[in-house]
Amino acid sequence: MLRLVNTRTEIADLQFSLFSGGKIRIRRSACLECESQACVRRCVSSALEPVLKIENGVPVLSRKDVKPESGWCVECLACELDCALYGKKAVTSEFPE
Amino acid sequence: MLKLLEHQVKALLKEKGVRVPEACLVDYDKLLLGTEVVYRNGFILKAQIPVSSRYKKGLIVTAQRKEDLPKAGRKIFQKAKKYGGCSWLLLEEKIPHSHAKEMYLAVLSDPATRGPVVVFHASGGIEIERVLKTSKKDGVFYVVGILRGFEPDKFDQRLKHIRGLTVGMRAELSKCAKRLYALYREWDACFVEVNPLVLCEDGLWALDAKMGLDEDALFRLEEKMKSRDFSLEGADKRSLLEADAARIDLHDYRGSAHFVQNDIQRAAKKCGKVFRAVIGFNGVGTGVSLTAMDELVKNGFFPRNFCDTSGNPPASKLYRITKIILKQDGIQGYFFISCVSSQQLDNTARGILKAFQEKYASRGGVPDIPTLLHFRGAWDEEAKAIFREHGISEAKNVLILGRESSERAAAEKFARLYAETR
Repeated sequence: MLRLVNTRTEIADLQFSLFSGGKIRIRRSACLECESQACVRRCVSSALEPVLKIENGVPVLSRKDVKPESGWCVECLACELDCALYGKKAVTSEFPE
Repeated sequence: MLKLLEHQVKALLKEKGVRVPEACLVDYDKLLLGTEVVYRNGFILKAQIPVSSRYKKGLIVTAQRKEDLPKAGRKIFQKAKKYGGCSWLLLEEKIPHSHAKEMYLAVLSDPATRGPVVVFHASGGIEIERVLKTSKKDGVFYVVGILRGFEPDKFDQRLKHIRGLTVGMRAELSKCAKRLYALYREWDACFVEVNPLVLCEDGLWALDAKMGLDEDALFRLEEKMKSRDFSLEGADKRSLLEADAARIDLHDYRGSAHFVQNDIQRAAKKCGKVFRAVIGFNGVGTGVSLTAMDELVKNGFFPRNFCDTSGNPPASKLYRITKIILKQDGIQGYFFISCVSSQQLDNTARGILKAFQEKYASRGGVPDIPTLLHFRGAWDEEAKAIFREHGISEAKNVLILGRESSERAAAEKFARLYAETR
């Protein structure tokens, strides 16, 4: 479920649930200075279209009518790993133990 | 496979209308205090424990008098300790019958026909496996069409050539087989077996019965098990890590993360080998995994686990299962191999990498054990590139292979890597 947290004057984080029961969280306050936008470049998700797109300088879900937890996000971890390498280490994932 | 205990199987058979002897469960204390039941034909005490050949092992004992029960029961409880122990004995009424009239009837899952088969033999009782192999003329092997279901007329036709079976007996056997088949389907069983099945004056009796359930179907049997107070406790022989790993696939059908731990002591005894190191193992494809594991053993390495992550699982599954593999105590190396696979190996790579980054955070994700990663198939170059980009493949104790290497070559290269970098 899409949920916005940390609602202060900063850019809110983006968090969404995954099919496996995991979650992706993007600390978007770090994204404004990101040049690589690696999370979007590498998003290889499904036949529909990438889960993430850049809007106003930060990643957002590219569609409002499809939920990532339906399997749209294929949990490839590319956004997290590439953000760590080329971006601002803003993407984290967590999964059920 | 989850094996139900005899008393549980008999309860299910009884529900289906199959005759079973009168019985009750007794524990050690109840046996010593004495039981109120009276069975005119004598008693049979049976350890409720999922092992085969209980009679041969002294876990089934007969007693004519109630006074003999405590001593007989104590012996069984003592003997059962060798097989993990048991908490209950089934105290059953003896059904007088001729051993010559013991038959065998079962519904089995046949890998050759890839479906259920109903097996009948006119000579049931002990050593049935030998009898089924050597005495085919008194047996029937009836393949059930899974869509049509069990067809009593067809089964009856097959029984016609068995000596000594009257029309009435064949009808009774068909009815019984139909009931067994219904149980088999309703409970997602791997097998339902009655041995011996005896014909007495008043009809067929199931004197002993076994049933194994498909563990992959347990998620939809839980309510049924609870409603009958069938406890799963003690039936789940999985280790804690295996139970953790099983949760990965539980509600997620995307690819597999099949993980089973190997018993090193048992393997060493069987191989007559002393292993030079215990390693964590993961393969894409069961065939390549078994081949690679054979090659590793030849080189002196013991795979602490079998793991198959095929079927194109998401990176998240690889991450979760790699964490579990690396959690095993005493792992001195890590070996990953794929068959020439059609799955997206770059996703596979990312999952493994994330687990490495977490486990070896202080080393930038570089494992502190000899590590071999062997990628072959779709997106294999991308998979190798991921480890390069993240600075893993330059490490002296990490070796990344591609399509140029076979399973044998990979195992030999791992052996050299281990010798050079441990």
